[in-house]
Amino acid sequence: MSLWHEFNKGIVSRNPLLRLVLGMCPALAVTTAAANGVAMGLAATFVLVCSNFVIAVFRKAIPPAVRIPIFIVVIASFVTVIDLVMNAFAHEMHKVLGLFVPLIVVNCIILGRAEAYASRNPVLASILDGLGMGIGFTLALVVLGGIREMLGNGTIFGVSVVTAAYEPAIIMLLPPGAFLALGLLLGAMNKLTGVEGS
Amino acid sequence: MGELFVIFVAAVLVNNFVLARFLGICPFLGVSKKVETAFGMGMAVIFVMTLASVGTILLYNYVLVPLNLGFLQIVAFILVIASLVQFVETVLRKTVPALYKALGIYLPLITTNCAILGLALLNVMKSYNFLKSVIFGLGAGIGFTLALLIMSGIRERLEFADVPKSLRGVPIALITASLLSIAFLGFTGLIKM
Amino acid sequence: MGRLIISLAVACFAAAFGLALVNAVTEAPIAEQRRLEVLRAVEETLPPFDNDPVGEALHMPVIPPGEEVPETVTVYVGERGEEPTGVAFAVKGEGYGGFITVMLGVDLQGVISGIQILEHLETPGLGANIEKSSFTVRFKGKSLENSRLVAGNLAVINDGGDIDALTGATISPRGVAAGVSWGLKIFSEYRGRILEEAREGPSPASTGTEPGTGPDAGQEPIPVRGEDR
Repeated sequence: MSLWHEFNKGIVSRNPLLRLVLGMCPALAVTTAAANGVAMGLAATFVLVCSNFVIAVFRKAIPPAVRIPIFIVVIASFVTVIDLVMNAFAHEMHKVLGLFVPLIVVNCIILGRAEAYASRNPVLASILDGLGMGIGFTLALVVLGGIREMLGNGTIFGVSVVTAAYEPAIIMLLPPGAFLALGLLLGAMNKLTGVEGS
Repeated sequence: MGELFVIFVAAVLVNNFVLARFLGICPFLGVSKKVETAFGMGMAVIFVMTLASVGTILLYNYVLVPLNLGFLQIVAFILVIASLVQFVETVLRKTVPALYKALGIYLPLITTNCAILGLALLNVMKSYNFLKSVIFGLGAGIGFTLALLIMSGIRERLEFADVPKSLRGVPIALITASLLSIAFLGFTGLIKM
Repeated sequence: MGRLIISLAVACFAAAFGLALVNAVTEAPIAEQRRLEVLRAVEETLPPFDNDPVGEALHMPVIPPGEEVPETVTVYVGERGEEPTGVAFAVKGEGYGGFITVMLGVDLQGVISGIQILEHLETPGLGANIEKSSFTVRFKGKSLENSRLVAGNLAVINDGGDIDALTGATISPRGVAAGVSWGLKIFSEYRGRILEEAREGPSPASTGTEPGTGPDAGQEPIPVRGEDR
């Protein structure tokens, strides 16, 4: 149980989106472009790291009976912080992500890590856990956003990657494309890692 | 009156919370294996959504705005929703045990259903008044239940299908949702908004 | 029991206090971002001006043609050397996925000096192409006098008008044309009053762009004609 492992596990072996299948709503909604995936992932990472930190610091002071409401207050506060900060300093991206910035509150990844990890582990390990999970989530969003952007718009991060002969499949940018791409991506992960679906 | 009808139909069909807005995906995939449980969950969601819609819009318009505390809306809404779910659970258990038996196990899951918080935030964004919020909440809940019921009906039959191993479970459910979502795209343009 | 309540209360107070601090820091930049957003759209659509149209915005109650309930429209008047050169305001038309909000700029003769799409819910790759300048430029120079009108409105070619629609999308351009026509009629009806109020300076109701009340209050920066979507 080295610190490296605490960080590393969230990226591949226990990737929150692709392995634990958490945080699907933002994963489907904002991944019409790879850049949106980066922004959403970083916002979630900020909340994960901060809430894991605060909860780990106060873990012995929080009475178990009211721990969930307190976790929710902590998480909601950091979500408000990132929401206000993005609105002020990354206004365009804030408009694109819209509703899904405040909805980080109910992203199961964050409450899940608070309850399962930060409330019973030391501070440094909790920060690394949050960082790893956040980066894993971000990477998954970027991959999904990249696939959808490439097929649906012929670009990745706004840079054209196809020849003029390719007619972009607009459906990939629409809701059906989101479900399809994530479904196939999860299937591919299962195939590659030799794990069968439940 | 006409406007309320439009809000209702738009919430149920055109901008279906699950299939077009991507809200409430977790319960949509988690509780859609059997029609019976999907129905129970759907009823619980309709009930809580309508109440939450009312509760949060009243809180926003009559507490947060007058006190100039708009920046606390996320914290306030999630606490209202969590306590509302708790409250509904307690009241149901004491007064209508039969209903509690049917819905009880789904209630705790609803707090983290992003459709509820999403609904509350959308009400504020669209500056809906009290009546519109009620109708929007009801429509959103019914739309969620509709998607959930269709999905569970398909998944019950999917049990007997020979799905490739690596696609079993969530992946095939997502691919099914994709097809459903294509069907619901057909409702776009159904009503003049 | 006491401890539970105290710890919950402490958590809530700490959260509220912390957020109040963050809010105090971000409030001004957010308001500024909203102002810039409007300003960019106004610059894009008005004829050249040297005043501050956003700071001097007028809030005009208007009664739209065919309706009875008055609506408040925020009007941005461009001036050059104290003389009004044009007027911009946001209009809405029904597209395929919902309302399309358009910033419409006209000169004093009611000829369109530019339009910009502010918000829309159209299909990416199809109807969403209305936001490209290759489409919006098609409205430049048009007016209710110099265009082929259908039922008194600007219209796309498919409907008998003279505005080029987009490949694969007719409904979205039709929505833009409808919104723009609505705006042109409002302008021709209220032209006199707008210019009169502009000369008198900002109306008492306009104290600049009001800062929103919540993190999401700015989703709809320019309120016009009912609610969005």
